[in-house]
Amino acid sequence: MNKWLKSSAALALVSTMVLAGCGNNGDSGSDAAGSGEAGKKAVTLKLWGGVPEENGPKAVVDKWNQAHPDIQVEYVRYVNDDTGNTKLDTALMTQSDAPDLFFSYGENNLYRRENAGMTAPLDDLIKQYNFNVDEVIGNDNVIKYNNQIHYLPGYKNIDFVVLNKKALDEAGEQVPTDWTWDDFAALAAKLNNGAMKGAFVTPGADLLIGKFTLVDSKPNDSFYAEDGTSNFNNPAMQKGLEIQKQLYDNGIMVPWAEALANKLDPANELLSGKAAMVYGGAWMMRDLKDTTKYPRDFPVAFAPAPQLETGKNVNNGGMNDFLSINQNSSSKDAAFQFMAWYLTEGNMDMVPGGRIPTNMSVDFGQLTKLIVGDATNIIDEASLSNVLKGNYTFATRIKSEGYSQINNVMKEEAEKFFMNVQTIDKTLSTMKERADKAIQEAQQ
Amino acid sequence: MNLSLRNRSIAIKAVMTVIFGILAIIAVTPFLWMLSASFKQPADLFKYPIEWIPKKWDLDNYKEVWFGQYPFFLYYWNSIKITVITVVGCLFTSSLAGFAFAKLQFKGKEALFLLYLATMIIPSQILLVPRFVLFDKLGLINSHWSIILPGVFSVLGTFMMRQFFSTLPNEILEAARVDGAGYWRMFWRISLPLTKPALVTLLILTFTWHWNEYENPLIFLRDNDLYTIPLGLTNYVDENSTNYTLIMAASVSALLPLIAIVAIFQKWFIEGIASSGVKG
Amino acid sequence: MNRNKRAETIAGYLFILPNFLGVFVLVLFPLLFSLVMVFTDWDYLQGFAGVTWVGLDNFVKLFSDEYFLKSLENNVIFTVVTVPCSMVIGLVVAVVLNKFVYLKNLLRVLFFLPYVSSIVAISIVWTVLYNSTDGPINAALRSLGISHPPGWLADPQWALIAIMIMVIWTYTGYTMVLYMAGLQGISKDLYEAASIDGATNLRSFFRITVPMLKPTSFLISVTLMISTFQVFAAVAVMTKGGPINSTTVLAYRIYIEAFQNYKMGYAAAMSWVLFLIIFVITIVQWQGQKRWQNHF
Repeated sequence: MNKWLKSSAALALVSTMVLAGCGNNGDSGSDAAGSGEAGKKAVTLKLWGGVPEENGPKAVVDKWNQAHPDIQVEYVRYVNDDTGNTKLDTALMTQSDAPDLFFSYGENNLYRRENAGMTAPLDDLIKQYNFNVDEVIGNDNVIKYNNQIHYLPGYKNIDFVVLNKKALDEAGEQVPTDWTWDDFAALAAKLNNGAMKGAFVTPGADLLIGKFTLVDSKPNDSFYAEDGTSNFNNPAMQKGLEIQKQLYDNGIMVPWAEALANKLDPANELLSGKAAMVYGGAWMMRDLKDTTKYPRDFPVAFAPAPQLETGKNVNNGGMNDFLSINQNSSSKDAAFQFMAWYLTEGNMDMVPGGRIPTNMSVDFGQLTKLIVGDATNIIDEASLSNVLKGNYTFATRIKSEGYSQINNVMKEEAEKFFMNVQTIDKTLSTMKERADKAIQEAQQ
Repeated sequence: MNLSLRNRSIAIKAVMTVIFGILAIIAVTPFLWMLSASFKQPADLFKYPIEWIPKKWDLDNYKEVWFGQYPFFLYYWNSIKITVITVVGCLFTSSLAGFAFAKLQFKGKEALFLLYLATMIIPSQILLVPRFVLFDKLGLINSHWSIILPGVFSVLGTFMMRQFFSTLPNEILEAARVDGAGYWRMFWRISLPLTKPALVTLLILTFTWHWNEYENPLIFLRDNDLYTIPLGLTNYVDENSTNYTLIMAASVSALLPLIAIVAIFQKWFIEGIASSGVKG
Repeated sequence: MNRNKRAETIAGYLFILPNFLGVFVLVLFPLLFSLVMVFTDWDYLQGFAGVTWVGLDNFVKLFSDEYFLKSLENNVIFTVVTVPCSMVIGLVVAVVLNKFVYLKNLLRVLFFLPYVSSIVAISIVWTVLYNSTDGPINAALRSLGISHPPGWLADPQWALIAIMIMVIWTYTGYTMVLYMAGLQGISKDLYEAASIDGATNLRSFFRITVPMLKPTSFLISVTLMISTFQVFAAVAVMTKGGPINSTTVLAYRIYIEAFQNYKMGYAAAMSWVLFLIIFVITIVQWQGQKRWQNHF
């Protein structure tokens, strides 16, 4: 039976190929000719990334292209959401116009691509070009896949809370420096008034207070318990979810579903005066400085991410902008040359857009100045510098069994809790049950 | 008596015209709101009572849409290109095959036609996944051909053209045959000119379907530069999530040309849709 | 004579060839391919190596898949509500516009516009209209004294209803146009005879118009049922199936399984279930056509 099916599949495949031959003569012919000649001329690399071109990538690529006429890089922007990531995945799977280099955002996306064999192992290239991973990025900051490095991170993401300094001053409060989620909720309640909500946290799987508290309690592989099953029934998760729900129920945050349906985003909420503080990160910097898009008369201040208990300094950020080379790229050497340059100097042009380089030799004082630029009147430099140079324990995510499924389970069940469809006990038990099942299925 | 009856019916007509005129305006209210919002500044957008005519006119939204960072001209060009090639190709292959099915006798015709009929009810979702695999292997993903080709070879179009050709009397063709005309001449010179209304109907239907198509481009196109208007529009929304006035300006830009075309050719559109009774 | 026949056969094949080649490659072959796929668990990211044969597992899995069952349920609700509503409204508008108004053509095109407009653009506009905090719909409701208007797209109880209202709005233009065409076919004599018998307009509407339009109604109901079962763009643009899966539908689920989860075999199995439903509706149509009159 099986054999029969396999051979018929093979037959189907062969006929596809035959059809391919007659259907597409013109196109495939010219394609082949094009790539044959490319060896002599300048190599053109396609680099896919999620940062809008004008927020740094254009400056980076222009600089490189000027210095390297033989290796030209073309930046292709994709939107880092489900649809955009699907586009990148299909681009990597398919043969035409495939990227040579690409950024993955979040382990979830990275692991999926590693598992699918889309990322080229880099160890040989690293040796060949004498790129010192430990010195530039730190060996601990790169997680190997099948004993080989498959990506290098270009951005150290730091999560923090951005506050409306004027509202804070009016309430007679200081910028928090070491605080808990309970403190966050209390401050939000205090800042809350009719027109301006106390706080805003983007609804979705990525920014869930329950997830943050879980990470605080277990920074390494927080989604997984020691025995490999899911960690969602952890009291820390309960704590975070309850705080978040209480913020919704008391009218301190825009209700979950409403924020989701209206696609609210933290920069807009904060800068148009609709929320007094938002959970965000360095990636918001560009919007925070943009006074044409968001005209405003108040400065913003920065507080580190709240903790489950004080004194821990756990941060949900960490390494990101995972840069990989497409396994099918025909110009891996050229691609790696660009990669090495990007990680040592190129990504400095990403700083004004708020992307902090992974390069360990970067001076944080200078970095803060670069980020703030001439916007000193609307950005509180002291608290920003404090947040940027903090000594954090970053969350690490090494395990990946069923990661994207359980991430989704967490969001869906939390959503039901926030919308009063189920109790917290039911939420935690269903989360655990469904996630365990997903992990089990992934291990098979 | 007669006069009063006539007066009464005029009165009914007048009252109904007012009532349904109001209903018709309500029906187009979303369009009117969109139009008015597209000229507003974000701060005025949600003011209530609604300012139908903005106090401060703001053309920046349109400037941003047409000359900003997204190539709206390009989206238009892509949509026009795809739609025109698809429609012309579809009319051509459909009328050829429709003519043969209706007017020529050959072995296997009935079986073949039955096969065509059978595929008519296949939902596009079934074809989506295998077509993706096929186009991937053919290297057609991320190319306009992946949108054009499925439209060019239309089973439904063939079926409709067959129905129209069937209504032509056989005598005309017999006369041509006696005069020694070949099959191509019978088709191109004699039959086709007589089916102009049918061609217009098919043209309008395929035009509307392909101009508004969303799912196929969403799956098959990757590069921003290849996007059609509906895709470009959703891309816009994803990037400017709460900038509603800008989004409305983009929506107006996407809708207005089609609305204008429909208004001008309304008779054809309405007859076309009415005579087909189908939407893709 | 024989020679003529052969020439005609060759001509027939040549005329059909361009279309048939395309249909074969783009319809028939994918159809067979899909039929093979439903028996596989295919993780597309792994290429052809990701194919494993699972027999009927996909179909078994479907019926314990919460998302699928919810989608099916939503699809049924969606069709059962939108089809009759747009038909009734369309019929009333058609009858009135046909006989009882001035400016017939202008009004007709106004009602018709939503139907030919891009559903994507329309969905985007309605999303903003439905905005539950500041949107004009809720602002109007509040000014009418409703202090807690629905959350529309943000509320799982209302999101599907919100989408249905919009879809009814677009389809009314379509049903109206078809009914107006159907009305042309009803002989004036019938109405005159009825009016001589002293029948009121309302009475002739129920006694003459509605029964005479039965074939049109049948045609509309079938085409609308088929297209509402395939609703995709409105859901993809407005809610992405949320909140809490309250608006997820089959076509959207198929898209998610195939192009976000890359479960090609599973998506194919789901699409065949959709086909089955549409097939049943079509069979009913054929039966119906036998009973009423032949439309083609």
